[in-house]
Amino acid sequence: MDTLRDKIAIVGIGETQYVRKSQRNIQDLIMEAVTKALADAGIGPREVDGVISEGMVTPALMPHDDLGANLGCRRKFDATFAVVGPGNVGGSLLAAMAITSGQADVVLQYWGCNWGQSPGGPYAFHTFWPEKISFEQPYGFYAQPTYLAMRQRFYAQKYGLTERQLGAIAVTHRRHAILNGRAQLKKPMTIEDYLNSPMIADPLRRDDCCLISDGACAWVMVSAERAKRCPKPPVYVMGVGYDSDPFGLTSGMSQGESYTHYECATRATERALKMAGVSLKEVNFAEIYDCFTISLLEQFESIGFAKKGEGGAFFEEGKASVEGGVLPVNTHGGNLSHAYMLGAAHVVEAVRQLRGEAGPAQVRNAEIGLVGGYNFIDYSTLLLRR
Amino acid sequence: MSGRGKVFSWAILRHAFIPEFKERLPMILGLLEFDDAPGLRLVNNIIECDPKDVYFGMPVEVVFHRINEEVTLPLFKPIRK
Repeated sequence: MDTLRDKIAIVGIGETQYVRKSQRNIQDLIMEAVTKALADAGIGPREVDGVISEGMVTPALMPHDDLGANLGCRRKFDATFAVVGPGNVGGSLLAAMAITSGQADVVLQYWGCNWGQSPGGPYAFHTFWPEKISFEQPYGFYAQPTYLAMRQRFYAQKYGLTERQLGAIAVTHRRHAILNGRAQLKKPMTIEDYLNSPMIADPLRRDDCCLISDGACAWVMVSAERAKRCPKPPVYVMGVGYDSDPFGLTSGMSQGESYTHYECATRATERALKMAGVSLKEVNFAEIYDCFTISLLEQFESIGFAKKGEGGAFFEEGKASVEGGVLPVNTHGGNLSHAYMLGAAHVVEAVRQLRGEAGPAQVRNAEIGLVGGYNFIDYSTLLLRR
Repeated sequence: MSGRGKVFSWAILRHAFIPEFKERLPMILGLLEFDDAPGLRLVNNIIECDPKDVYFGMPVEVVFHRINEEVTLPLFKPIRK
């Protein structure tokens, strides 16, 4: 299990500015992120010999072969890993396997999305499946908030979650977004602002929901040995774990025995920790996929940072704040306030933190960071260290 | 199936993600469970009910709503004694 531990490092990161709706086409945005990541790594485009991405959104926007052509590189390794969140966060597992087995030396992972420009945006996911169109849409079940709202109500009833606790999550994220300086949302939010934000699907408010963003991110991975020769401090991949529950995306939002929490997140985290050879107590900060305040809370507990039902208090007591908290969470403001990059920006932020490049949002003594990549029925946990 | 179920959870839709639904707001979105189909949950609407009257475990029964010649939608309403 520990054979991949610390074998590769992230040596370059690149991202575009994040906006609600870009005037540029997505291929342009992806190439900008990729070019920046390679420059950051001090590696030329033709040296790339491995290309990976998550498998649902990215290849449709910028196929790996087109990317290779744009870089002028010859791919010796080409793969997608899972889809969206778990794909973005767990992709380095594939890079570690490719690099340690000698298939490739320079692996590039990238992500981009243009839902700000697309009709229906992320909600159109619900129209991919005939089951959803026939059995769910006629009843108004269209758009992720409709599903998470019912989940939030169920969790709140079971554990006594208050609106103020959820609001504390939203307010913390907004504060972090303001500190990082590059976020899509920079308007200060108080708990009163949160409580006054409109109900979308009661009990879920607009400020419980993540952004819609156009933009792209990329990162470059090489062996730990080679990483020492790169200009920036390496960020080592300590461990990666992926796991899933036996449901499809069509049914996973409404069926499933546990209607609170995610067993796949618990198992993925156990495996990542085992590969890394560390315990959760040694993690200094966490970037966890926050599509909604409730889904963040459930993952936070499923990962093991708080007992079930106690996560709300953790946030309410300021423990997740980068300003004096014991375990800062989503130090960039996450999907909620920074940008909705489906976990890719969470990876980039973790790297920034471990390099000490986060400025006003810097976690002090950042040694080990955890990144959690969520989808309704599968999960990736990534452990990085400096 | 008997057509009788219970409310497992619910939400009150107040934002028209689908513009054509605007006149139907607020809509009660329900996740329903059934004694005679354990393990299954059905996504549906609860009609003939005030949003503030819904509760966990509220008993509901199916009502077939004929939209047009081709389409009939099963909907659920509270069982009132």
